[in-house]
Amino acid sequence: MKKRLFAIAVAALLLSSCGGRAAKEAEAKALEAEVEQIEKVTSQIDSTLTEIEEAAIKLDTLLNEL
Amino acid sequence: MNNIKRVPLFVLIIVFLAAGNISIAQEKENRSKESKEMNKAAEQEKQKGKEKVREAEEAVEAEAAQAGEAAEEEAEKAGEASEDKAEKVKDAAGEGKQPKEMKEMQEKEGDKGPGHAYGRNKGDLTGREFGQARAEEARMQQQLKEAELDDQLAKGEEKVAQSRERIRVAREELEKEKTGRRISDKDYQMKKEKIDKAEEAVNEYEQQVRNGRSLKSDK
Repeated sequence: MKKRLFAIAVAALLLSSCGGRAAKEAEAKALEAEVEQIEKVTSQIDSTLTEIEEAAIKLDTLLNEL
Repeated sequence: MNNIKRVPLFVLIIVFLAAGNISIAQEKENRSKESKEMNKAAEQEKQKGKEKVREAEEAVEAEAAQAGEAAEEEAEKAGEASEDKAEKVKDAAGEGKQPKEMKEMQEKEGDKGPGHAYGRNKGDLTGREFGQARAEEARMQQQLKEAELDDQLAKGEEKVAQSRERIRVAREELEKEKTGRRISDKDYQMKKEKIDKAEEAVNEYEQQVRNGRSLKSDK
């Protein structure tokens, strides 16, 4: 009986000390995924902006030649 | 007697459980505090960023208006013959400045690429804080780019209309010159090619603006 109680006590201690880790990891992963998604969209916007700017420069050059 | 022997073990179990719960509760409390602080700091940064963008836009608008006025005066003085030339000056004054200024502002503000955030200042922050700071920085970066895209799209549509008008005028003038035999066939062909190329460039530019619009609506 003594041994059983001791085992329960140890298990309870382990459970209480390690329970938060999984939640932390899940949170970190969700945050990482969010950042990746945001950065992907930002990168798309950035490349579109660059393309627009390049096209504008080309257009200005050709219009000035008219 | 047997029961009395078990009491310390029960106490031990209760102490372990209580200690675990207390530590979890404290952790949660700390987390919520940290999160509140981070959100507050992020909000402040966001506001600052927005204000800077607004200021830059106002400055550019004022500059563009001044340049536009100067160009108009010049155009009036030059009369009909130099009308086309004055328009070019006006276009040059009104367009292409904002992106440059926006870029300068972003450079000053620390506009780094998506990959540059990794590991920055991590020594001072915990892993969780670092992750949140990175997420906030990414959100701010996205907002800045969205604002820049909005601005480019608005200007882009205006620019397309102006460019098409200029091309139409240039084509009409060229045809008049040809009809009045004021231009050689060789020069006519050369000018026509230039006008055609400019028209292609307008189409290309318009397509890029459309792409930007669809990207914005997809989001």
